[in-house]
Amino acid sequence: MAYEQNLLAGTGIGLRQPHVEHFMHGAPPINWLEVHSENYLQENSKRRYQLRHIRNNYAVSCHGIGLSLGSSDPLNLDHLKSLKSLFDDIEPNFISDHLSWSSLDGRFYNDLLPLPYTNEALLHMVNQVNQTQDILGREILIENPSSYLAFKHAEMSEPELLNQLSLRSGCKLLLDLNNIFVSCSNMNTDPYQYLASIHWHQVAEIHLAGHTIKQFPQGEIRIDTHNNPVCDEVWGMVDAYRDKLQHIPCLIEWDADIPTLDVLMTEAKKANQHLGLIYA
Amino acid sequence: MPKVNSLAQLQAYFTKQLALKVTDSSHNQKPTATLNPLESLTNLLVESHFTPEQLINIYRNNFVISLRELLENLFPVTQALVGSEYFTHTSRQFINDYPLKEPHLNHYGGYFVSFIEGLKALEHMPFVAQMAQLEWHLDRISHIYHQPNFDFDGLTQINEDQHLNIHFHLAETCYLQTSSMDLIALHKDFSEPKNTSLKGETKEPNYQQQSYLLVLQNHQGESALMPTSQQHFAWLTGLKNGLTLAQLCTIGNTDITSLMSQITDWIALGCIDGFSLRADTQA
Repeated sequence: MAYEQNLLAGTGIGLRQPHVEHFMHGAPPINWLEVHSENYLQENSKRRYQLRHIRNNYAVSCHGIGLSLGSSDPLNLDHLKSLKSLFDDIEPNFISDHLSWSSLDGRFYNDLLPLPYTNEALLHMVNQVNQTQDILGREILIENPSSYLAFKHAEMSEPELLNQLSLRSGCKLLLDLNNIFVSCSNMNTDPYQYLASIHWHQVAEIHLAGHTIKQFPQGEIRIDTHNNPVCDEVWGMVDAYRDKLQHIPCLIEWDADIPTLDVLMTEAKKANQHLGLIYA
Repeated sequence: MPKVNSLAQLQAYFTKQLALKVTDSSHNQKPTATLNPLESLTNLLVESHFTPEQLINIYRNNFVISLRELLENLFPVTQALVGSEYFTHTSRQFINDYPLKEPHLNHYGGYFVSFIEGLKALEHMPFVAQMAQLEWHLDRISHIYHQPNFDFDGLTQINEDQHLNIHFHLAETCYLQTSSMDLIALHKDFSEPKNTSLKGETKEPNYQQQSYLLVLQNHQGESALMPTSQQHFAWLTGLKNGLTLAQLCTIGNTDITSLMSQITDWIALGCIDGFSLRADTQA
């Protein structure tokens, strides 16, 4: 099977440190790889060297958690400069971050914090995404986060905000089906209604991952932990939207309790089967 | 319901709630302080089965746990030295008192070392902070991409009468540390299961001895610990401080032949990765 290093197709996996040596000394048959941008910022690091090497053989997407685009703080220009240096070095196929915020007054929270889905938040995100794309000189993808709460004064739904953000800023969408399922379960809304609301021509990448259910006396809550296989309900969403999804690069994310590479590749193969993709 | 004037105001409310100290990671745990109700987010949230405190606690725990896990991964031996309970308490205190100021975690562990150094409870156990320092550098050095490529040809072209003016460069993959405790033995014993004799008796090692050590990157690209003598430590420190061979010879009143023999070994280990000529600095 030949790899097209400039083409993202089928299902890829998130490249995590325990598996890097497999890709340094061989070419495991996986369609493409995604890395966390913040782990590769240091120019003289071993990780950057490894990523340069791996990029020679694979299509790569750089996925970030640090831009904090929804924060009312100004954009962190030092961070953007570091990211631009990484992207100019690696030339990733995709760059992405989240519809969320993670910092205020210069303090970072290392988590994806929820935005109120208001017109103000939409305009703010459009402005931040525009500035980011101008500075990077590249289009970015924006991912829907997992939510555990919602704000009463919201003026639109999450998919409506994502659609508008993409339309007004020219960014593309990274749709995380696990996050949709987690958020909709926690908010008692319908994930299929969410999927039906999305402007699919603006979706450029799909994420699939596992999550954890926490039980409390009042009920259960789903936490986006990325430490499990994709759940049956999310596979059901993939099956229902196969016709749309099979044309979009798809990724298996697994960030905690990381299994062997074989397990990840089996999960990616399962995704390709659900998507109706056949590979030699 | 408090009036939400702007996104900025809501985020200020949210971060004030997030910044409240919690005493454990339970989602049911209530913060140990309360805010002015007007600043509370409680009435801004869509009703759910869960209290607003519980919901915000999910976000708080996500970032607190992620930072605590980072510290546990960076400082396993330090944790073993002080015990899990104290380490968890200390790391939580650090996370509360020293917020993350960058959108990545690349430097956060370094600030933890400084924090440990300043802890009054550990002032009679300075080796704990020294171990944290050592573990931090072991991690840092393991991340550096380093391909030793010493210019032997360039060295041979230097006139013999200039040899004493050579300054050899210590590689960035080398870190020097000294302690009144045997840090290498401590590191080994607290990162591996305790050795026991055939009779099942635990050996009681003597950690109370001065140690001089070198952290370096081995040929497999991993960080490694190497004990060194006081004399060699002094030479390496001199190299780090930019001393020439002439100046190094004055340390311990050594001769150039012995010094060059040792420098050759350090070049082979990748500890020295270059050289330059200084103006006449013979001592």
